[in-house]
This record gives sequence, C-alpha cells and structure tokens, in this order.
Amino acid sequence: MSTDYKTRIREAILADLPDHNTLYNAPGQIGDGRLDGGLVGRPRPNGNRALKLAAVLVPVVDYENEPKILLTRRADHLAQHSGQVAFPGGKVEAEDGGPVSAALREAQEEIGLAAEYVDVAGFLSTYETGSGFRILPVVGFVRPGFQLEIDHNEVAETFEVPLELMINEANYNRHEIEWEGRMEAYYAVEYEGYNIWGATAGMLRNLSRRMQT
Amino acid sequence: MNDDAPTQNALQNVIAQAQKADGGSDGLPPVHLWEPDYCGDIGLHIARDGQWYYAGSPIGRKRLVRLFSTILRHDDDGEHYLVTPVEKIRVGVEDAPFVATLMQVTGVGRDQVLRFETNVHDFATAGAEHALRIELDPNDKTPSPYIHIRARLEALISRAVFYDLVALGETVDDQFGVWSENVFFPIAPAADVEAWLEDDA
Repeated sequence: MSTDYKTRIREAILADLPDHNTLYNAPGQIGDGRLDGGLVGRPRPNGNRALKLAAVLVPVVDYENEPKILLTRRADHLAQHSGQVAFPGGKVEAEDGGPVSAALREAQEEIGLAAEYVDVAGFLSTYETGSGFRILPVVGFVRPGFQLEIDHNEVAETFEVPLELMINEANYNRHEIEWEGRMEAYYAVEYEGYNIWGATAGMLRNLSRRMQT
Repeated sequence: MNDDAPTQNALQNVIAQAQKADGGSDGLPPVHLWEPDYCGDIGLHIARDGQWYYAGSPIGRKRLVRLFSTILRHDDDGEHYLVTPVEKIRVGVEDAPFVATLMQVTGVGRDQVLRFETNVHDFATAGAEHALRIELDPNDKTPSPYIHIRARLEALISRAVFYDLVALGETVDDQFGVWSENVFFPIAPAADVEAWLEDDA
C-alpha cells in the first residue's frame, strides 16, 4: 500500500465537522435503504420519528506497511445488534463536548483505546440506520503501541481488517433480505470468518467510493 | 564501557523518590517547595502528541507516565523538569507537556462549562482559574489551542477536541470564541472565521 494513504484518505473525506443542522436535524446523508446515496425521499423504515445522533470512530491503525481498520464484534447478550461487527462508538450524550469527543470517549470505554493515540483526520457522510440513529463516522489515524482493554459488557472481541481490502468497492457484495414484509438491501464483506455488513459496511463502502472518485 | 549506567540510575532514583513523595490535598506532590540541584538531561522527551520518550524509545507504561506527570515543573528559564526533593532532571517538551484529549460540556450560553481531560488524567475546567488560549502560527495561521492545567503547565487541545470546541463557538464583539464559567475565550476574529467558512463553500 502506498505510504501516502493518509493523504488519499484526507482528500477523500470531509475536513470539517458537519454543521449543526446536518448533525442534529437533517436525515442521514446516506443510510440503510439508500445505500448508494441519493433516494432521500424513500420512506424511512421507522417513519419520520426524530433520529438520535451517534458518533463512531473509524480507527485506521497506522502500521508501517499495512494500515488496518480496527473493528469490534459486539457482545452476544446485547439487546440491539448483538454479535454484529461494529465500530467503537455510541450515542452522543448531553455531556459530551460534541460528537468527536463522544466517539473518542466511547472508544475508550468500550475497548480501552486511549484518545491520545488517535489523530482525527476528518469525517464521512452521516449514516441513517433503520433503528433510528444518525451516525457520524469520525475517521482517525491510530498510532500503534496502544493497549486495548475490552469491556465485555459491550464488546465480545476486537479484530483488524486491511484498509486495502475495505477501500476496494468490488469487495462489497450486495444482498437482499425480506424484512417486515418488504425487500431490503445491504452490503457485506467477509474477512477471515467475520461478516462485516449493515451500517458498518455501508459507512466503509462510502469511504471506498470516496477514495475511488 | 557502559554510558547508560548513570542515566539509568538517575531515572531509577527519580522513580523511587516520586513514589515516596506524599501527595498534598490535591493528591499531587509539592514540587514547588523543592529546590534540588540540577542533575542534567538524561534523554527524557515529550512529543507534541503527548507521548513520553526515554532515550528515543516510547515509554509505554501509563502508570509511569502518570507518575512523572505529577512531578513535572515548568520553571522561569522556560524549561520543564522532573523534580524530587533530591533530583532535578530536564524534560524536553516539543509543544505542551500534556494533551487534552476529551471534553465535556454542560449548560449553555455564558453559563456553559467546558471540562477538559488530559492524556495523563488531569482535569481542568476553563474559566477564571484555567485559561483557554489560542496561538496562531505566524506563517499559515494554523491555530494551536491550549488549556491551563496547573501551576505553569498547559495541555495542547487535540484536533479532535478542537472540532467540538469550535462547534460550540459564538461571536461576541467581533470575536469568535467560546464561553465557559462566565468567561469568554476568543478563538479568532469573527471576520477570519467567516472567511474560513466561505473557503469551504
């Protein structure tokens, strides 16, 4: 992988934090049900109820020869999204300084990743989930040498996927399932027994598309 | 020949002394009361991202870094030192000795309260006692924000936290800045901020 991958990522993503309206009032810029961008007018799976803002960290670990994306697999006993592959992150709480602080706080709480190892590079489009969240993906370069401490109440394990694999749009397979009486589509990438799909795959595919255009 | 031996010993002595030191009411050793003789530079260094180095190698043990941070002092000569009752060792500091990596906010308007947490787990609430200040690079006007932690020690506010900080900003008398505990901290002239936003449009 070329050594200037950081420049390529920085040029592909949003350098500025999206404005207040985009974060707190607007629909997600992309999302479940509008996987390929566009089609904002499509009815939301949950109707028009207010979305809750969540922030996730997209951690790109800066290994010298092969940068990797750090992912979690959520604990199997959770009520929502149990066992699924996810970025560290969660709901932006009232006391968080903002969505970036929230993403870093959650990463620290869930997997013990100290915020000082993370150099925030920018942001991806907000992603609206069928479960009623508007997710802001915060892209950060992570300096190797960190130690993780997993909170097993929330996370079953962490693993790493080569960045190269995830920024190649051809690796994303489109699937369709019947969900509550209608067909829904999602993308998935399989890697060493892990199934990366749904919102996590949607956000990473957005990164892959941005890096190819 | 072993050139490392004296510096290794100096470091071991500092660690032993620091562990012995009694914390005051704030849990921190009274470094301002100690006036040991200067013992030299043994290759301790804090990079801009807050990582501590000893002889070029990162110090990975967080508890050791935390311990060192409690006996750090910023003296009149502009230098930073680790001090114990019997040692004083120079620490090279690339920018600020600490990095503020997380921020919490409560309240709104003038009553807004911004609380920062550093990489070594100190906390500081911006206000009359802890100033927040911005330095602009004279060449490219890149802002470097700092929050005062204690005595003459500051933390560089990380890029991550600065994103959230700017999102909380408002304009008062032609200055763009943030409120915390009834103090307004300017970040930049409002006209400059408008120009940044137009650049992005």
